Amino acid sequence: MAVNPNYIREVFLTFSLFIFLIPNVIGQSGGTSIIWEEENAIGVSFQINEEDNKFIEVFLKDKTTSILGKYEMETKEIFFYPIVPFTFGLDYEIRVRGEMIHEFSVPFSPTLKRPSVINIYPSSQIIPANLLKIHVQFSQPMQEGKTKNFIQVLNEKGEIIPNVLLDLQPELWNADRTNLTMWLDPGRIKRDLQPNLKMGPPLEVGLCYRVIISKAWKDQYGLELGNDFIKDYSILRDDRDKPSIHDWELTYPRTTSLNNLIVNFGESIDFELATNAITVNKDGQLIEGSTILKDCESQWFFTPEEKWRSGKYELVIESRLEDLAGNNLNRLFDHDLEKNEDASNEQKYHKISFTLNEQSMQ
Amino acid sequence: MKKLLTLFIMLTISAGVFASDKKEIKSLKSNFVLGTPQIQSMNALSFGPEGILFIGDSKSASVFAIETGDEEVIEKAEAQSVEKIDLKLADALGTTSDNLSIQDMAVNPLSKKVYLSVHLANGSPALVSLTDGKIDLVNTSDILYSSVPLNDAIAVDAKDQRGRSLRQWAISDLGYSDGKVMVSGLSNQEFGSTFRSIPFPFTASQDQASLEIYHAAHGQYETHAPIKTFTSAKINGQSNLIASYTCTPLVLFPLNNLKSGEHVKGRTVAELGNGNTPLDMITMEKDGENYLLMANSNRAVMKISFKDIANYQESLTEPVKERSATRGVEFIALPMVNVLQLDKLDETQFVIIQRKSNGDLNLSTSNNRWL
Repeated sequence: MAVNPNYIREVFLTFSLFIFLIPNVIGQSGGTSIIWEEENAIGVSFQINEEDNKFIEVFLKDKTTSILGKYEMETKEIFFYPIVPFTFGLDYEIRVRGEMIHEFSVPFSPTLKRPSVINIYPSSQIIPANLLKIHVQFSQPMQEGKTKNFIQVLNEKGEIIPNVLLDLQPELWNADRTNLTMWLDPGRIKRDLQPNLKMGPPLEVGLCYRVIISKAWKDQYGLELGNDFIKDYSILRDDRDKPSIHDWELTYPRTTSLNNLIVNFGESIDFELATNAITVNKDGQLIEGSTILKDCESQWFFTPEEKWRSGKYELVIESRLEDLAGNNLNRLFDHDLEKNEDASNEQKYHKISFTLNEQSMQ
Repeated sequence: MKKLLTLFIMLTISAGVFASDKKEIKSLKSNFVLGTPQIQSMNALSFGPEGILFIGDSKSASVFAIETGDEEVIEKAEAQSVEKIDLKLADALGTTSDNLSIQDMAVNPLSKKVYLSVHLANGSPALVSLTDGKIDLVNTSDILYSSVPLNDAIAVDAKDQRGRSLRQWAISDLGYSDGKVMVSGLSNQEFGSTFRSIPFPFTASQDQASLEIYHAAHGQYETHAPIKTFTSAKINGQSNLIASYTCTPLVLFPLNNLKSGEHVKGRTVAELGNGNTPLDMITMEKDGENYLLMANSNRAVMKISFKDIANYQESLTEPVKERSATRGVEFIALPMVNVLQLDKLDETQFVIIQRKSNGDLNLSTSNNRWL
């Protein structure tokens, strides 16, 4: 991790003040002080005899490989910055010529909270057999790369069903690792591919499945979820229709109000895309506002930051908007070329225009 | 544009032919700047010429090219072996093995040194190299580097509404070939991928060929197909991209046919199994024959002869009349399962990171006796 030394010194000075005020949070033991940057223990400082400067190494307790990092020296004060922050709950040793001279621990900060699963999407209990994606929303950033250890799909008998979710590396997280996207095995969903022919689709019509997220999944600081999160699904027939904006029902707000603009999709839409692929424009300018989804992601509520005005608006929908089966506004997930059922359509956006006036709702 | 690209490729090939000309070699780094690249993640690694390491950073939606200074040429590499490499990495990074994940492995073709990128639980990336089993930090501060943003990722989202999250392209593979950096990325939102071919050295005005790649199963059902891993190789004298999708077909694209913004269909030459995603691909040569080696999430390492690929003139993209009809070129499963990382060490050896049946994660070296 690249760290600006000046910044670190500032942090250290700030920390020194902080340690005076709240010693429990900082943890100073055995002549060492931990250097913090937000919630991360990015370094440690300690004092040694000057002649020992070249023989210092920092280790995990009882380990023989020294920790990679950068040493900075100021007279008798040594600063060690590991290339990644120290880990909460672990014990460390500072050795000179192999002899331990200091030891320190990095305690869990009392301000840290356990992570939790906010929801699994689709939030509906009834889903199509060709469901393509599941999204999990967490309360705080989670550890990555471990999904297959912590998410399982069970059948009605409680047996684990392997190979429903694709073990995909890299995992598909949002930037702050609070939202995880998982694909059901697309090779099994896509008709006529070898995995589809040999194993069949991942989900069978008429059956029920349970998704369990293990309580042992840890967040970025090593805190576990603490409770299993369970979601049950019943499987309906395949969805082989594209979402069509012509089927959507819009409820318009009054001018000079902050009322919601409501779009009723008439079906559940992919959570991430319904949240992120629809905007409202006025005179070509984006209207700032917030979006929430209701009724199992079948309704989109938009609240503007500023009151609605009279005039023409556009609802702009990116073509990449997908339903639960990965069918987007332009194409089906796997369209049948022989039936010529998918006319070529490469447009990037679809638009619904509407006009608000002071007298009436439209 | 095509003429310019052709000229660029010819110039790059010339640079390769006259590799001993130091003036030409230096030109690849001529626009590098001295500083500390703000790398936020290290999802994919790949070496180019002159010890230049390309780092795919999903978080900042960028590719970095850094000078490693690791340019001493070694022809024959020592076999590399590090048992329980996850535990050793954890010790060196001051943490426990459940707190880290190895993101990618790349071998410097000059020095034959193995590089690893690691992500820690808190999101911190780390770049290390191996020397005789010893783990060393690779310096990424105050170095010569250049970088390029992955244009679409920013352009699409720059005008985003407040509260909307940026689309994240998880970089799934990265490779350098003939003056171009190729990058594949998977979206965390829609079922889709980007594949970009970016001229190198990077310039301010990027021409990033961005492809929409589709896959048709036996001529009937067509799907937008995310590329998981790829490599490039000459087949029948023509440079080809060999790509494998998340749904496992192996597909060829002539590199000259890849043009920006086009709906491209490759020639499917094999389907490689169920419940599986490809992880890494390399090309090895033995007795004048080239072989593709591919590591998989749920299958043994596969070996495929380039001669078989070249001779397989059909395409599984075309309809097959019988259900039992052939599913493309033959592949041989090597006795190496749970191989998570794979790269070429030298002309006769390749290095793997493998989860053993006892749970150990070992880095080891195999050679072309398997070919």
